[in-house]
Amino acid sequence: MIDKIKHYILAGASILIGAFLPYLYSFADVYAKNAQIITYTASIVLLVSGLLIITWIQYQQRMHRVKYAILIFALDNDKRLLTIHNKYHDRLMIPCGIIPSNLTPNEAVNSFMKEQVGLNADDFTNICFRNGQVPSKMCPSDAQIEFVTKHEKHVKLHYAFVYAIRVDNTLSLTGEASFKSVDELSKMPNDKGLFSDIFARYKFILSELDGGDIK
Amino acid sequence: MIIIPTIIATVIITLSVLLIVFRKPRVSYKVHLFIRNEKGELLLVYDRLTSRFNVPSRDVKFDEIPTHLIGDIALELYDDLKWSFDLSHHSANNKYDRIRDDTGPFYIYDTIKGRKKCCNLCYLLNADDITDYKTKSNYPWPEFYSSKEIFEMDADISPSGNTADIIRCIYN
Repeated sequence: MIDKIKHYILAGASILIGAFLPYLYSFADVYAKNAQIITYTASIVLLVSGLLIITWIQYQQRMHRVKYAILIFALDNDKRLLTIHNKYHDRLMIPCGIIPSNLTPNEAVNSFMKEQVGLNADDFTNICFRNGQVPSKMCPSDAQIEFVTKHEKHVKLHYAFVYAIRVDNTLSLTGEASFKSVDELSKMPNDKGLFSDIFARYKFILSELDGGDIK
Repeated sequence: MIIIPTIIATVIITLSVLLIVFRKPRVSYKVHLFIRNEKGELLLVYDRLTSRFNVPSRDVKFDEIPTHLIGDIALELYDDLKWSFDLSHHSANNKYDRIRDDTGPFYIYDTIKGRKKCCNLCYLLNADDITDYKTKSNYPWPEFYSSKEIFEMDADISPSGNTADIIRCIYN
């Protein structure tokens, strides 16, 4: 944090000196050979270096920032999983995404469910795996750290909140969203079906639902 | 000629100020640790800001993983605190090839102060029942309190707000 402030001060000073250097030159009334060119060059160099420092700080922050994500396992009354077709991966996925920096995880769940499957916050409820302690509001059932190395090289990892929610299957869904059972999912080809870890977690949630202390 | 660098600088500074003022406020994250020993007592520390006893907590920096902070906070509490996740409130962990599983918060709640939103992540941990932990000074007066002691504390110094609700939720 202190380093960041130091760098911003350095960038600000650089820009300000760059801005006022030509004025200093005019006050000094110097007529040395090439003095004007040198002054203006120095001024531009300072302005550019100030901008570069700011860009560098932003880049460093972006590179090291932990991204928060959510994975939504929405189950219907028959415990089938709500899936969508993900255009980026060109395969089946569950509603998910990176949490926008101005939204909290719970707000992001509502936002993603609205955007990706067209359901409002009133259309789903939290499935809770706690022993007799049911929070009245949305709460992740777990979290996982997800390393991203393939597509976005600058993203080191995601901290993904895992939500398990219950959705009424009579509600109308948008786009290619549909409920799929374990059998249907396991019959899908590997490159078109769910990622193995998502599928494994779905099966794990089902096992918790069948044998666990669920409210 | 003289005025050109000044114009450029003014534009840069104005744009920076506008970006800072009008950008959407980023949600911050805070970790709260609910550490119980084998007797079921809860660890509280004295919060000098609110002059109340509270659970140990810390803001999550932009490059930190919330769960990784737990070890740091534990180290700041005691030199030799032995802790583990309380999995009775969690799904058990599975291991996947692509993803490393982690133990998530058992409860989260949001707070808003002005334009700033904060997401509070509460983790439930078990600690070994050792009475002579070597205390560190980073969190003042850490001590395990029984539910009875917590509920009978003076209203002026006992945990308040969301923390109190969660403590009640844990013990009820």
